[in-house]
Amino acid sequence: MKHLILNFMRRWWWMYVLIAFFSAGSAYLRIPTLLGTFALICMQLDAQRGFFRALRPLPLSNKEQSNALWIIAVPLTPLLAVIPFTIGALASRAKPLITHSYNLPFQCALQAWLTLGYCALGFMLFMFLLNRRPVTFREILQQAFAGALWGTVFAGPQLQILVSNLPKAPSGILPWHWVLFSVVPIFVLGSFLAAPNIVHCKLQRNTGGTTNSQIKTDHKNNLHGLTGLPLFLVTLIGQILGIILLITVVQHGIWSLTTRGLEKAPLAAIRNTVMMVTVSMLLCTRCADLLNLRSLRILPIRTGALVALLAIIPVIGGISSAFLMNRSNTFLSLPSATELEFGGIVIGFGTFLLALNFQASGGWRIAVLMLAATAAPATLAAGISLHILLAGASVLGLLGYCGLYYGLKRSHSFYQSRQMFGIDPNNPMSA
Amino acid sequence: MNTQPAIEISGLEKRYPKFTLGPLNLSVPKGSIYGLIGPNGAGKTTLIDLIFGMGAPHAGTIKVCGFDHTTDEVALKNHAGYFGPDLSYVVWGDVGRAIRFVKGFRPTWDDAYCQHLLETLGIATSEKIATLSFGGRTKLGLLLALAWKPQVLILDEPTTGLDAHSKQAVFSELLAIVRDEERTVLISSHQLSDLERFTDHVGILHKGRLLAEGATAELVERHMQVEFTCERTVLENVPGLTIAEHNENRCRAILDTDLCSLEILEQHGACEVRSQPLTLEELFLVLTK
Repeated sequence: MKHLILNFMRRWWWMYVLIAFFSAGSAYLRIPTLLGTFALICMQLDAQRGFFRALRPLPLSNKEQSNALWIIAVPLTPLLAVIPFTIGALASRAKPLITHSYNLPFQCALQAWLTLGYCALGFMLFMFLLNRRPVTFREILQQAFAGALWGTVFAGPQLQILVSNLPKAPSGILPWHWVLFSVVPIFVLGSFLAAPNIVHCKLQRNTGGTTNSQIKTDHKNNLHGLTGLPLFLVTLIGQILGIILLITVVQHGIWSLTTRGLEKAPLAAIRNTVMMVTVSMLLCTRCADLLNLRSLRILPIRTGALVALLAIIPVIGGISSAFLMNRSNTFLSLPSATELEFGGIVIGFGTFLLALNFQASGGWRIAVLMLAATAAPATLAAGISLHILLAGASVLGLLGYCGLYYGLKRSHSFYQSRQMFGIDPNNPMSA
Repeated sequence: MNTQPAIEISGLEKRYPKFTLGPLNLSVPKGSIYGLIGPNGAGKTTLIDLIFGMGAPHAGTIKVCGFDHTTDEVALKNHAGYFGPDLSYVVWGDVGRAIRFVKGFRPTWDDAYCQHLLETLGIATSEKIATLSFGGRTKLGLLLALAWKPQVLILDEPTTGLDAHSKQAVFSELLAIVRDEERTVLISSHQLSDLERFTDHVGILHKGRLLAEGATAELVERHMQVEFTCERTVLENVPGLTIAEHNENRCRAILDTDLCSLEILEQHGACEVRSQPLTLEELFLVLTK
């Protein structure tokens, strides 16, 4: 068990360093945050890579494995995250950048306690996440539900709302805070009891029950309908819009619940411009991973036409974000000039990121994703004029378009398997 | 009859920081099954990728059915089908949708033949691609490459992950394809025993260079395994002789009889010479050692 814990920490040491840095930084700058659930993300990546299956033949009982996993994900992580937080808080007290009432022991205890509950909740959700693409309707529902909850536990405006409403000192504790604090032991106990099932669930094969193709042949023909390019466009546009709408609906629902009707407009959550732009950017980047460029390249399509097809991804991202950021209360009304400008920024920068992600490999792909995730908050927070941003995005978009053309023609990297953390999104078998 | 080769590669060169493919000259005769063999990292997939425009060569030309791979890329892809292990159709959901996607780009798609392949390979159109085994995905990829009856079929490791029945079915289809003498198959594979049985031409690629090429039977017959007693240094530069093992003064080597005969060997001082025929696998192992 000890080896398992140490092995996990050794493999993901850089993640611990990153979290320590952010934890200390947020405490020093007194930015309310809840860090610590990162171990679960690493664990999910491990599960997708089939790491748990590789562990199974080792002379470790199910109990030992589940205990080790539980210790890594639940008690150990907040413990390790709270140390840099305390250091950051102490530094802040010694040399403060921001001055406001800050009860140091209370903040550290609060951080440790809530992160513990947060990790325990995440650990239980982790059980329901599949290691592979969902296939049956039940699996799709399960993955959508668990994935949406998983996503909202780790990110989104509700987290921001929660942490910014936490008390700064014991005197600021409200009744709902007590409710929040009291569910922590329930989550911790629940996660501990669920731990053996987690090990069992994560040991399922990465391919869902291979069918015996030699025996099973159906004569029910589903070969009619759209073919070729129209099918490609409908599928691609449909999937991108589907993802954006799902995120919108989930965020809107949670926003409505957390603000308890304070913000009444139906598209309130997605009006968070930064979030919308970030989501679109990430989507443009991530689409490069889901598309198998080889299967497109072998088709009789000119390189120029293929570039135009790929550029559809950021264009859809940009147009849909312009509509979803719409200040009016319906999806159907036309976006304003400002929203169209944001859409243009997504198109330009998204095209650039798409080309960059196709070319990047290994650790560079993580850097591209980080760029996609941080570009919008950083540039918008810097207060740069929208016109300048749009001009910059146009130049980058043009560069991206040329980069896509050049890359498709000449770069071998464009056609390499798109693994990230050892997981190929198109080929779970490689996991 | 048009005697132009189905695939003609001349002076092809592709340079990477740690690997260089070529300069490579290769000619695949029309109506043949050509086996491209080589150890991992020999450059087989790189070569096939270059044919389909996945990366650009630093020098040389590639022509498939007379179409240049850069200037006539669409015409080339209208005549050449491809299968490779890195192809993935998971994003299409089920087998039927993947078939519909590819079918839309292929005017020569043969529905009846597709149905025949579905039944022969045992794939159902309703099957989810994500749940297919590795072999199942290979079968789907092969079906998508075969069903539109391309003039030239280029297959990269097509039999990896296939069971014996499926492998037999795939090779039967390939043999049927080349029966009309107009269509050509280029296969890159590690399964040397399969290639020896089914290919009529073979090329051995090693470290980016084509070491040997020719009709499979001729190539195997042309080479023989010899064992003899001699000083190694004496024979190191004899053309057509590749030393496989040297133990004290006893040598085991491969002799290319086109370049070197047993008499020449003896003239160089080899004695107690024993010779025996080779299999393609043995030839491959020695040449790529």
